[in-house]
Amino acid sequence: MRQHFIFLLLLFFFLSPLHANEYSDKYTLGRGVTLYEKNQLQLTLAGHLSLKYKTSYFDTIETTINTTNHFGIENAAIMFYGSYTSYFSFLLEYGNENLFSYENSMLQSDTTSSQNLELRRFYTDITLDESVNLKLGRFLIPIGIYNPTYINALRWSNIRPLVAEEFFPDIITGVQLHGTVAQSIEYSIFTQLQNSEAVSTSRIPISKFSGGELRYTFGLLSRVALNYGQYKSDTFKEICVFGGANTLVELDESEFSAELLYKDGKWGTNTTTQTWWKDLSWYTQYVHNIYEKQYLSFRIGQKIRDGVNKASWDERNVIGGYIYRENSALSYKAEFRHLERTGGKAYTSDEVHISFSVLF
Amino acid sequence: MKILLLFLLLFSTIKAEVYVVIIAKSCDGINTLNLKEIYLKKQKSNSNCTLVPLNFQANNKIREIFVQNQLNISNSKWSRYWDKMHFKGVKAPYIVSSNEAMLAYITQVPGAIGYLPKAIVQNSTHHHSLQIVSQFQSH
Repeated sequence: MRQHFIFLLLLFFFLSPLHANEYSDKYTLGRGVTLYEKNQLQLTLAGHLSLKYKTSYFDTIETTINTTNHFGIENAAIMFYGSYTSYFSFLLEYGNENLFSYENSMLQSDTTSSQNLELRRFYTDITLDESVNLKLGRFLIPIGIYNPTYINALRWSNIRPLVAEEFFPDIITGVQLHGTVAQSIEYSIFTQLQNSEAVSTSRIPISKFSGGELRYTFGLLSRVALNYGQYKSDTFKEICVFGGANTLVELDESEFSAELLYKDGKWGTNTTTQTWWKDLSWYTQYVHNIYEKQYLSFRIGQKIRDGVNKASWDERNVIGGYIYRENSALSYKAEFRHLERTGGKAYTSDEVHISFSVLF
Repeated sequence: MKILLLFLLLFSTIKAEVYVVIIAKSCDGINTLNLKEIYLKKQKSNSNCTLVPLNFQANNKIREIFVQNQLNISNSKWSRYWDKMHFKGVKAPYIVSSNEAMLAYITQVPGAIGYLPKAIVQNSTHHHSLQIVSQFQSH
């Protein structure tokens, strides 16, 4: 816990320039502190922090009703990155998701929990050519829109869509080949080199994983992409194959995005007792700039599971939100989500999520 | 009528300044088409030099005009793009604080590219070694 305290003090050291009228030449909010910069040699210290409050009302068909209040540090990390030449760069990110959380529930006594600090991302990027870059280390899976931008400060929503949950692991230790061809075609191909089953925070512990995404980019961040992947988990005795598509279109005052993924999974090695399932999930999101720094967001999504020897269900949700973005690196978000699940473990829930997030 | 004449006289004295985007002549193959790719750091080099895009500080008016008119990017989208890149470990273009610093950087660092008032470039002793990629007006 003392380690967490020192870590948070360091993060708040970053926050202190927020109160100054003028930032020094070395610091810009959202761009980190430039430790050294001369020609191609650059070293930057940065970080991010997100605080979140959630209150939810949960109702199952079996008449279990519960209300919970949850407050926590959703994600916090210090980043250190740099480049030695235009051909070699590196990044280290130390921190974690859910560093601290407190939950007050109608049915249970109050609980607090915390995740250990860890080296969440570390990699070197070697640029052989604009079209051929080699990334080695631990990195975010470059698939979809939400997964590569996992921190709250970079997103329009506090709530990860269902399509970004449990379809594939968020981070792997491995190698990635990526680049841009003909100015508008981007590709990423990756494979796992280290078994992640021992990594405590891995969303899905896996022993083998490979995949890729092909993107057509236009404008600044607009894109249309296709992806594919497959993984094996010895812990869960699962073998899964997935594929999908996503798009993001930036307009003058608004942004539209959508993701779709399909997964085919099977569990167990004995053919007579084998369990298999098919998951399909999608969402569409629309964000509109209503006035100066204020935005409204709207999202609908669904996740359907069709299982054999495994529960089948259909989960649908709708989210409406308000975002105040003081600048691109600092935002306040308030959202309401209604979720309904039919089939196995049916329930409905209503949630309110409020957050403050900043990129240093 | 007098007020109108006064207005006309006043506005006639406010003249838009011409800015030019410049790079060393030794770096060939740079044009308005790849200017955006260079400033987004999607293109890091060309055949014979490593490219170093330069920018003024965030609140600089000329920088806002450059980003909007030369790169065709709104300032809010420019910031959001660089937030995402920052999170990936890619640093935004190097910031210089003055015209003098911009000129010194471009003349001393091979591959450095930036923008300055045309008059400063023309009066510089280094202007023979510089090439103009494009030009724009301050308003």
